[in-house]
Amino acid sequence: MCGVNSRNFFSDVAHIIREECKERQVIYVSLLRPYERVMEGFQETGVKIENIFIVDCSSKDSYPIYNHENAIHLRGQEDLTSIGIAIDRATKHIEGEKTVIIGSLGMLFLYNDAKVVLRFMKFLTKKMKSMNIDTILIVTKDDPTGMDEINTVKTFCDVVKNIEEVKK
Amino acid sequence: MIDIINSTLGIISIVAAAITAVLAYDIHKHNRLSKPWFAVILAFALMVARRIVGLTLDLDLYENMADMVNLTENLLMVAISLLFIWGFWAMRKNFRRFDVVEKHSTEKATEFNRTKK
Repeated sequence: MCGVNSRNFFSDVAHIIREECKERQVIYVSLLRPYERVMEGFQETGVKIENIFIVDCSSKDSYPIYNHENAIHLRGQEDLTSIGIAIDRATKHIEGEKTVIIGSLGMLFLYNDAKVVLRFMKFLTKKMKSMNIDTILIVTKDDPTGMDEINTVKTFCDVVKNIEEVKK
Repeated sequence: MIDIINSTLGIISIVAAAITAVLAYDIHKHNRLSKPWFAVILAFALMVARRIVGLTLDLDLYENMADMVNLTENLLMVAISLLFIWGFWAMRKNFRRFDVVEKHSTEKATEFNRTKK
């Protein structure tokens, strides 16, 4: 889990992708911003976007209205089952070493029942560990949404860092 | 003798329907199809009510109101059917959506690999 600042969200996430995911494919679950803004943000911050597959949960419409070769567009942050399916399919079918990045976790607590999200996160982290896939959960430090529950999610994580520690 | 068997079966069916309603409510905690699943829970709960009404007919408890009781039972049956239709139709829609997401995610991930080669 990594805590970032909401003001520098993209540059912080971009830094994580650059530093933590060299030579790896990144499956980025975007819960905060739609596909176009995510791609713009990553391009501006110099991330190799050809290595990024986006699970977009923030666009107004889903497939077939949006159709990008490196993204799957889902109905919304409240559709945990679809998010789980998309992550599962992407991790199974994208070749090579990969890392799943979920940003930002607070959004799941905003749109779903806390207990359901906790169960989902426990299931997901356990599954990714069993598949030997690194998972980075992004948390915006200055966003109070679901902070108590996020503290519980920390117990599922092997490492909890702040962006300042990552940047050192 | 037949009356006793009928009454016993009536009571067993009420208990069984009540257990089903409780189980349906318990399943609600584990799925996220809240609204349509509530229709199914309500339908099972109404089945309990319908069986109770049916039992009053079997036991001739309201002999002078038999027509009214019969009408109530039929109305409950229609309500139960409508709730089941709503619940299962909505759930079928959800499961179809999951199928589409699964298929589309697999296609996109495969396409992603191809563009990298």
